[in-house]
Amino acid sequence: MASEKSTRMNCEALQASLETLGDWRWSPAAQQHLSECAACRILVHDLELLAHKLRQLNAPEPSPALWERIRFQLELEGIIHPLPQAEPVAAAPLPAPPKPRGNSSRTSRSRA
Amino acid sequence: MRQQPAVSKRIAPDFEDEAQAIALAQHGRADAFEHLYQLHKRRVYSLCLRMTGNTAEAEDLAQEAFLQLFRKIGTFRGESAFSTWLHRLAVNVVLMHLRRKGLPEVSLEETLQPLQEDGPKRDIGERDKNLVGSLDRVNLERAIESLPPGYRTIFVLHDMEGYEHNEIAGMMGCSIGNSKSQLHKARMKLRDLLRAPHPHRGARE
Repeated sequence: MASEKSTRMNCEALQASLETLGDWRWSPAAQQHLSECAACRILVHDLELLAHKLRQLNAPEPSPALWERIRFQLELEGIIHPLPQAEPVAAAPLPAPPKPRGNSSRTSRSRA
Repeated sequence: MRQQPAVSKRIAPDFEDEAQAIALAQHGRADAFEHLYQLHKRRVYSLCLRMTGNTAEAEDLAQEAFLQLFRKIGTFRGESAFSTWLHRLAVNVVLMHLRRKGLPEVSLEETLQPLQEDGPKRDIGERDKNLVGSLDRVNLERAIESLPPGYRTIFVLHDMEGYEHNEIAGMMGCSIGNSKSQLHKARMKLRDLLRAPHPHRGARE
């Protein structure tokens, strides 16, 4: 009974020390407890596994629209000044459509 | 649904380093702003997403964080890391948002009770193959999203963003002990969420 109570107290103490996950410095008493207590060993293993998996999570990518929204607002507020050379060259005026020749004369003739 | 503007076709020029981009951004160079945005967008957005669990809110908050930063970029003197400044600013933006929404950033003692009542009490180290089996990226992301907001905030700040308890306590106006206690409860809750059967999993997939 006494040893059961002692184990339970050690479990609580060990749980309290888990607050600094990733930088565990097990005291000899904690090491002793972990060697004897399968439940705490599994708990520690689970939490270490979680920490490991968390480090592997990729940061998600925002939608491409986000930068466009930010840029629009910055331009609106006059904070950014787009580089002239960075902008696409303004489209040259479209050449005038060729004057209708044969077809139009045929058309006009046919109309006539 | 928000209409997406056309994606810019311009290619940001290469900058020697971040410091050069910052210096040029301080003179209003659009390409320098875009370069800084590209460098930091993922981390800022993921912070916002993980703290809110909502993509639309996360984009709005990331936008707000970048706008606040770019408006003040002229005052940046390089005493601290630019990324530190930006991420701290993003955290503040999200915390202010959570405050406005009235969500608890730190669970009160009453809100901690459901942890004990979520299901049959388990042995803390009960062997359960579900944890290993459910530890893929999707389930982990879902479990983090499922954390109660009070737990999630501190969990994300500490375990995902790398803030120390004293920094979190300062940002959130709580004690260091409270931050540690919340983090431990969040981890235990996350472990429970990942070990528990997910009846909704099939329906959402």
